[in-house]
Amino acid sequence: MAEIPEEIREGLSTALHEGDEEAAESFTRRALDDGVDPLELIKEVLVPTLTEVGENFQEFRIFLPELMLSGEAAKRAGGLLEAAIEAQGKVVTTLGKVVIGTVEGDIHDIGQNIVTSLLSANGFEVVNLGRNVKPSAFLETAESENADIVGMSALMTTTLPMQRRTVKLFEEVGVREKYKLLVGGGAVSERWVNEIGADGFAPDAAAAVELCKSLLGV
Amino acid sequence: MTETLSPRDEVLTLLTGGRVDRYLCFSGLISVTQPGLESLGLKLADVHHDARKMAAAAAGTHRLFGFDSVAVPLDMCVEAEVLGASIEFEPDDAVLPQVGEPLADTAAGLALSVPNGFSQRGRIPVVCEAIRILKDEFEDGLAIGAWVPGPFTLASMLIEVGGLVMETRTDPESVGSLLDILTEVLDETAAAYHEAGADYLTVHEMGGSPGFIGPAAFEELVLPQLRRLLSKLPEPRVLHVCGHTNFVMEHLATAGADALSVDQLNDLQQSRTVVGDSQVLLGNIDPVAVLADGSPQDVRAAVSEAIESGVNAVWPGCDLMPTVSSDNLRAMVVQTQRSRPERSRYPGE
Repeated sequence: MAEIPEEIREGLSTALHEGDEEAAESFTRRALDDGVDPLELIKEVLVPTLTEVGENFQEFRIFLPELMLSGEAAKRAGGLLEAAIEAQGKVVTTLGKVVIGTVEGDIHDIGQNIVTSLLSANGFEVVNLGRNVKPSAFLETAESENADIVGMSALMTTTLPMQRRTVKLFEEVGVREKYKLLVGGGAVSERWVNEIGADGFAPDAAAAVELCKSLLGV
Repeated sequence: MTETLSPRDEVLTLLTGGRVDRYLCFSGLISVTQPGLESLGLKLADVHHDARKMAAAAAGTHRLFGFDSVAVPLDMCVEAEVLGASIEFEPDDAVLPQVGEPLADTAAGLALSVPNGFSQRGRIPVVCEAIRILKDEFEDGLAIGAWVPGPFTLASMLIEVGGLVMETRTDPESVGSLLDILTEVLDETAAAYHEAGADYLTVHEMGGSPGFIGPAAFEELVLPQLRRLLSKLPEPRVLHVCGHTNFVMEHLATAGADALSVDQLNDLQQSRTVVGDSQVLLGNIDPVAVLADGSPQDVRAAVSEAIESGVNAVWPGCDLMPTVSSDNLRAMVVQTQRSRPERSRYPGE
């Protein structure tokens, strides 16, 4: 496999930092055309760049628009690279798989989108179910995706009970121990985590990334 | 002599930078509580369409806990509803109404139609009637506040938030054009509230926080609209901005508000240094971690810290959660009353 040309390394990194989807796709395609190993490109450019993006967000050097645009650009590049890896008959390795969603009755999904961006930036594979997600949808997706972690977001105090119901469903069908169940959102507290028997919560997106890493020992 | 001032006059004097001999505790944002509702035999779902119930529920926080003012409306969705957003009113739980599916994914993709006679539509007349009821009930004894969302906050109730947030970078012109229209709509709403008798008006910019969309987008897109809106409102005007606001305190101080309200993420001491002693600052008791989830001891500590850090009046960092405990709200008011303002806090002394 060819080395990553410096121009592509810099160009793709800049495109990701700037959230430029077109440029990210263009540099990724050029790299693949040049015979660069897609796994190397992920390891050498995508992951370190997105880690920097995540750090910039945490340190208030960039804000939500930039973070989300970087996430979109990374999704575009990542899609091409994953397809190329699969074409080689290989598997993309990640730190772990997280299924995330905002619980049923709650449509405030911006917090979960921030967490999704930061988890992806830090090397997790994230399946984002969006908002208004039924307990059964969390369960079915966790099972079908063979997830490691399930994250349930709830902004409103009155949608918090759906987190409890979701945890309970995992218990009832006997798969509770297969997953780390995390809860998040403005109204979640440590007390609530203990009350419903979840595995943890994080007060912000950066802490959520650290929590996922620590729970999976990565 | 301020001893002769009614609580209403104290609030209005304070908001316009005058001297009041005690710290006040109130909120110009949503401050309806379950204990207040229960004392009236009401559910939260009852209060949004009935002016008398809305007024009673708003006043409950004053009657039960001693807040120095009352404020309406009791949900965020009044204007969004008139603009066509579907609103979900939860029938049973103590949950504030919220918008359903967004009308569009982006500002550019939103075909917004502002109905004629905007302030006569939807629940705006209900809020106006609630203001009139409160004015009749308290006469000139208690300040009646009314509030409108900030333009960006209103936009975020019409458009998918992620799309809107990214559009501040990719298509600021479309966002700006939409905010232009929404500012007009909010001005018309606030004017109706004023005409109904509101003593002061608060602009509640939750979604357009500089900590959320970044200081650059805030200064380019949100701040000009806030300036425009505030310049049209009668005094006294409060500007509340959520989230990390220390980046832009200098701008907020010149936005045209008589008083600024910030939330618990604001470093008040730093803000006080930036805006100087003459700027009225309100804040910043955390409505979730402290008021809803904390103990009365946590509340007392937060009130003392806010006062020591330079607020002119104690008020929650954002809308109260309806599930807030009675003990915590009492602790908030009592701890505020125990504190005495320093004379040097006031300009010209």
